[in-house]
Amino acid sequence: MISRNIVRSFLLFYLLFPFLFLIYSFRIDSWPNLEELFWAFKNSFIQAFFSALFSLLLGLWVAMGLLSFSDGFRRRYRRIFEIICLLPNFLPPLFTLLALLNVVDPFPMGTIGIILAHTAINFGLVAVLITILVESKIGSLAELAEVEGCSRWQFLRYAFLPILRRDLLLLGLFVFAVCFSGFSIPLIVGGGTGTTIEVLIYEKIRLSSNWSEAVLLASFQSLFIFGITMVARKDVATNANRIVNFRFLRMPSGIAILVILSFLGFYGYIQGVIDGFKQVSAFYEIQSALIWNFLGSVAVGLSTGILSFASLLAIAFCSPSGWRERIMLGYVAPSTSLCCFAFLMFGMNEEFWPFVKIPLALNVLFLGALYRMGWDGILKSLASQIEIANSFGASSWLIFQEVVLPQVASRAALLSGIAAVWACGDYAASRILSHRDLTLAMTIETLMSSYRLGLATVLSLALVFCGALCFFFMTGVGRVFSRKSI
Amino acid sequence: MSLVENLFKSYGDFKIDISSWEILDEGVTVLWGPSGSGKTSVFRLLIGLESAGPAFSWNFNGQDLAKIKVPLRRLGVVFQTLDLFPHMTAKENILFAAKARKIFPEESHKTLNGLVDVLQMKSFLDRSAAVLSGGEKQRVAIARALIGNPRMLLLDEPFAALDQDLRHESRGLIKRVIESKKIPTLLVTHDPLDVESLANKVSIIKNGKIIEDRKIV
Repeated sequence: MISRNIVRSFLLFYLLFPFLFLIYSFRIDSWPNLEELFWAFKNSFIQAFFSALFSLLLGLWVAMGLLSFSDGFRRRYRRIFEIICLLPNFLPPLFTLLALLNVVDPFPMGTIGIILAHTAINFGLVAVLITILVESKIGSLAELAEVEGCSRWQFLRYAFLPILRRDLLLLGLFVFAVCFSGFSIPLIVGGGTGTTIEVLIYEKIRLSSNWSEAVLLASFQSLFIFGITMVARKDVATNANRIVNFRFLRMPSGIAILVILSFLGFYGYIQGVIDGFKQVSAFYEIQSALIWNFLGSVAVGLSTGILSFASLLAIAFCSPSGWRERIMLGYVAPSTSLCCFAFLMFGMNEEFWPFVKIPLALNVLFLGALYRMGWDGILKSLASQIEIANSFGASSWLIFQEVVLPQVASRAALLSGIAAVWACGDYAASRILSHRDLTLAMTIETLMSSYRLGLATVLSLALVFCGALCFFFMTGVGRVFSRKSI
Repeated sequence: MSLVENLFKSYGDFKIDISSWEILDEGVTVLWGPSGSGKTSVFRLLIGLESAGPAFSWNFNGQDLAKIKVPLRRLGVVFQTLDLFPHMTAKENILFAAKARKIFPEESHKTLNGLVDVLQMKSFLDRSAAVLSGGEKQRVAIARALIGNPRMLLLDEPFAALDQDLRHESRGLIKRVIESKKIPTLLVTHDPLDVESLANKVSIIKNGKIIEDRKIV
């Protein structure tokens, strides 16, 4: 019988491993140049602030559009628009970058480029979350205001904004935190002028092997993000339990802007694919490497998916636990680069080891996000069932096996499937943990860096196939585990 | 006799403060009080889902239940929300509790058959818990609490989710089960009709304190 305390300790050790290893291994013998730190902090702050602001404004506009599809037959089409909104968050950032780089030519490298990419990735998610907020918090109020003869402006000023102000602020902080610690986007489009703290940490280690400064920078960033995350944590509003007529708040132009932006992104991507196919002969000389890269992507995707699945189930096994909830909600993985370098420094790096270390590092980096993507809510909803099973005298293993697992396995598999897709598209962590291109995403990034955008876009089609393969494998795993055992 | 002593717990501006309280070891003791009086808190403290201070003791036939772990207290519990496991059938819900108590399958099936008869559950025994009606869910929750041969049955507002007619019927059903199983029961409720039809003893709680304690002849 596996004790819950052993699993809890192991999980905690695994999540804190990068921190512990770095604290153990490195001494602080020099302090970062304050001017350099301030410059990188300013870049990180500015890009995160404007990314959050534009995501919020654009998201609010699109949310008003989504509210046009909240009743009657139109509600059926709402799901399609929501999927379009969430797609940039679900897909690895590589796809958004490819679409943007194909559409915006010349692309503004630096802070503006980072803001553009972060906004494109996040505004859809913000729109969906705002729609849920509006429906659950002010749905019936909007109907009442319309019946009472209140004007739209009055409603927005005296009800909408005052009621949702705090939620919107928290949502903005959440996007800010995500963008502030982002690594993959600044790595490609940051250029020299947009160097963020995260990229500076990467450069400190990769270029000058200055670990002590990197550790300090990472600690500074982690503390800052941890503080923001603790402020931004909140209960996600639940869906409205009755259909509300939102004539009052509808803004069809929100849907129009979503459609236009999605079309532009899609057009850019297709344009890239067409350009790429014209140069496809360039692939002939590297075709055998591409096959190995494809297999490498599948291996990284599946391993990360399985690790995420196991980690989520381990968290569920330890549930309910007050400290687990607090740690997981506030948990921020150390800076991406530092976390990966910690794994790089630990043990061997040749032969198959990158395929072990990349999934382990990605799992540490993804777990907090997966937890906040609904895993916490699922575990909370099972708390009373666990409580009653406990009062019957059921062992923690029996409770997990027969009460928890059948109810959470499919959702764990779905979240792990998303992690697997993200892992397939990862180039940033993999770049640190491997000196050569092991996966398709790394090859795509190499092609992008050498301005062969068309070829990179064509190759990303294989990445779609690879991601789908891993995703469906994980959902299959979920189905197997969902089978009841009683 | 079952004697609860030194049950203290502070929730900031609200306190449970019971220095001594007797629960009948035969028949039904009703803990009655208005909303917010601390009934459910007392219920959770007795089960062990919340910890009371070190001075708390619950002497049940010579054994101090307060000093043993929750699973070993061997209490049959029905919460207000009933909390059936929605992915299991009614039968699986009941047998889960038997499995939790490590009762041999032959014995648990025998007990189950008896409970099915008393609680009239035959028609929905193989139905998923998620689709049962309120009354059916309640009967499954009671059977689930009883199948592990508990030393005591604890019910927290078990009729709250039912409509008036069904409540009346359920009271009769529970009374019958308690009498046939001869199991001491603690019923937590705010409904005077529950006191009227089920209580052998009523303890009135207000602001976390037992203010009246009387047996009903």
